[in-house]
Amino acid sequence: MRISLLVLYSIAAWFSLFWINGILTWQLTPGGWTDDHRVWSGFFNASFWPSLVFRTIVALTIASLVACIVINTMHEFSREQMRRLQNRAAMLLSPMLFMPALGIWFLWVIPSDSRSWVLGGSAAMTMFMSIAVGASMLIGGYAVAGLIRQRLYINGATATLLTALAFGATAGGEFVREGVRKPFTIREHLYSNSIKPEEVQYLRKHGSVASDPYPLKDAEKYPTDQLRLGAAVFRFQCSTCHTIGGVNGLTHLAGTWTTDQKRMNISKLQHTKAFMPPFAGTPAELEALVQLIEWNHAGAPADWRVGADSKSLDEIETWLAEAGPNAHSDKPMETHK
Amino acid sequence: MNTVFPIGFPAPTALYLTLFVTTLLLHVVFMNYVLAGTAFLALAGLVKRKPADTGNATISSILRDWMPFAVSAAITMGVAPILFVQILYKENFYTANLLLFHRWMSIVPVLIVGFYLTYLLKSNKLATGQFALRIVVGFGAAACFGFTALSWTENHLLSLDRAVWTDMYAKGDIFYRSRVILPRLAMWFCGAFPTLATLVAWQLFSTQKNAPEPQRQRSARHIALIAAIGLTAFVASAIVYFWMMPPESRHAAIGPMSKPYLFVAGCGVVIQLAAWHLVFHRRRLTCVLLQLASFGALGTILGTLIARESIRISAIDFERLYSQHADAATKGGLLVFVAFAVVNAAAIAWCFRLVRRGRVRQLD
Ligand code: HEM
Repeated sequence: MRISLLVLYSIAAWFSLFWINGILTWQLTPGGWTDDHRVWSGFFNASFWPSLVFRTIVALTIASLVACIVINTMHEFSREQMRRLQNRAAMLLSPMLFMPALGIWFLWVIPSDSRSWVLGGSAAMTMFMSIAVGASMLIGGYAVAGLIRQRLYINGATATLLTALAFGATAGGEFVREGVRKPFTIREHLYSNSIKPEEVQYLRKHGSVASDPYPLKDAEKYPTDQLRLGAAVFRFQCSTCHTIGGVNGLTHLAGTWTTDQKRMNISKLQHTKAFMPPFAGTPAELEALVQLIEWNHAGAPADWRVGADSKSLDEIETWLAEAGPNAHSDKPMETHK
Repeated sequence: MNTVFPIGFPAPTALYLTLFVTTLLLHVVFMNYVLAGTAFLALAGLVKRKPADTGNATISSILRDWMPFAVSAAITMGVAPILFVQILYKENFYTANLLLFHRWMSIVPVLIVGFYLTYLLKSNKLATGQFALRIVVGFGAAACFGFTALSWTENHLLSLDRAVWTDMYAKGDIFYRSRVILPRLAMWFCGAFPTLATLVAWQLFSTQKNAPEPQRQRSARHIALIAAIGLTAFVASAIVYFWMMPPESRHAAIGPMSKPYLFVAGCGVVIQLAAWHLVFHRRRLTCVLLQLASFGALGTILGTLIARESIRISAIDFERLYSQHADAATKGGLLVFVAFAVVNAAAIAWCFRLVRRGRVRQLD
């Protein structure tokens, strides 16, 4: 009975992976869905299969390593029995041999700009990718050489360490998977800040927060209305990925730029950093955001100037027009299907 | 809307409403087992486990055995309605989620803790061991599921109360305060007991075939009492909740959309009371009486759920969403959903059979 239930359980669990994998990969490579918006065109997309097989192997790997830990807690077995059981469990590690090929397949089918970030374009993503690859190689190497070929016994501490490495590799891989989607949540359809590409022009003309019904939580802490506007713009357009002065904070990233540099770099956001969406607000909103960053960088003083004359606003308008309303990567997807 | 649910809505909207209510009904059945079952076990923990021949001990041992399964069933049965609720109501549902934020997300760890506590409840050591530990684990599990029920109720009511959204956001409040939360929660909580009684009665009916007559009689009377007290408390709290609702909601609840279903719910209560009355006096669980109680319970849950939906539909600008429902219906995938619903139902039924057979063998 237990075995039947376990088999049913693992099939059901794998199907969870199957469905979620379809959704996650669709977000990065929506493929045919872009044209017909049908469920299956999006579900069975270019990165679906490599990702599905890769994730299945990751699940087998973690299961096998956890089994090695559990076996160590079964004191009713002799050491020899434990070793034999572990070697049997370690067979589940052998599919790791296919991981490099699957990884390359995945990288091959994702958009070229996403690929370029993990291959050196973005330090963080390249680093996490390297950690994932390195940790997987260590586990794979130990599995093949130690557990499968030499049939070694693996004690609880080593098995735990290897499991921790496997989780580290998984975390690195998930970070990369999440990161390479930027600046989109759904490639070409929805930016990370929930603005749609086709809304950018409208918001640039009519304002991104003009009809925002939600007041600021801390409105009274800002000395001017312009800063309050900047805070609302920050909340709407930037806060999904950035804080003001904390992790990935705007004052750290842009605080040292000159005022004009800020105006231009934010106007041309998608060119400043390819994994950022285009700025989607009016020149006045952009200026308010610039002032907010400067005010915070100056230590949030009680008095603050009102920034920007009409000349700077015109300049911002020109830069926004030069940058265009599309993301840097808004072009037919370069995937190798 | 002056027509009976789900007539009068455009076809896609009617389809999603029907799917939502049907799948939510399944969730509620298992959720009731968990909510009332863990509360029962917490109280049962106050007394040391009695020898196996008393009625209560049998009810608790069944509950202890099945609770982890019931929790996973309640949780997985929540997935389908959570998809349909998003297709149907969008902004209202999401805004409530976002406003409650960490408070809302905390149901995830709380459910994980509750789930593992139900495994601890199964341990013999705990049942016969230290009183304090038994209380912590028993009441801990009940509190986890009670908190989850509270969170769903709070989220639902907040999703309909657009007037407080901006103020709540500005204040950074993560608790929604409304005087109707408690009576509504009381209604769910009390209503969970009759469902629990029906399900456990079926379990007793199929596992106690060889038990001594006095034990079977005691179990039958206990379970009938649980059901009758639960039903009475459910009706009382439903009446209190009804009077405390805003007048528009009250009109919607008894309006044309849900009136026939409220009648079904009322009949369900009467049928259940009659069935349990007979069980109590005859001191035995019979297949016919249990079938009656089950039909009654399903009717009551269905009627309550449709009245619940009528109130929501009247509280929001629902017509504005019709075009989005129509759009969703063009995307495809419905056949696969239906196919997997059938496969999953078969898999769950098979699981039940396997576990029941294993348990019967253990008892033999
Ligand atoms: C065992 C733990 C759970 C308990 C005790 C529980 C309890 C409840 C209760 C009392 C309601 C009705 C709320 C109201 O109308 O006032 C409800 C609704 C609902 N529950 Fe659960 N729930 C549980 C777990 C879950 C999970 C894990 C999910 C999702 C995966 C879920 C999905 C839903 C949905 C979609 C609704 C309807 C929401 C709406 O219409 O606004 N539940 N639940």
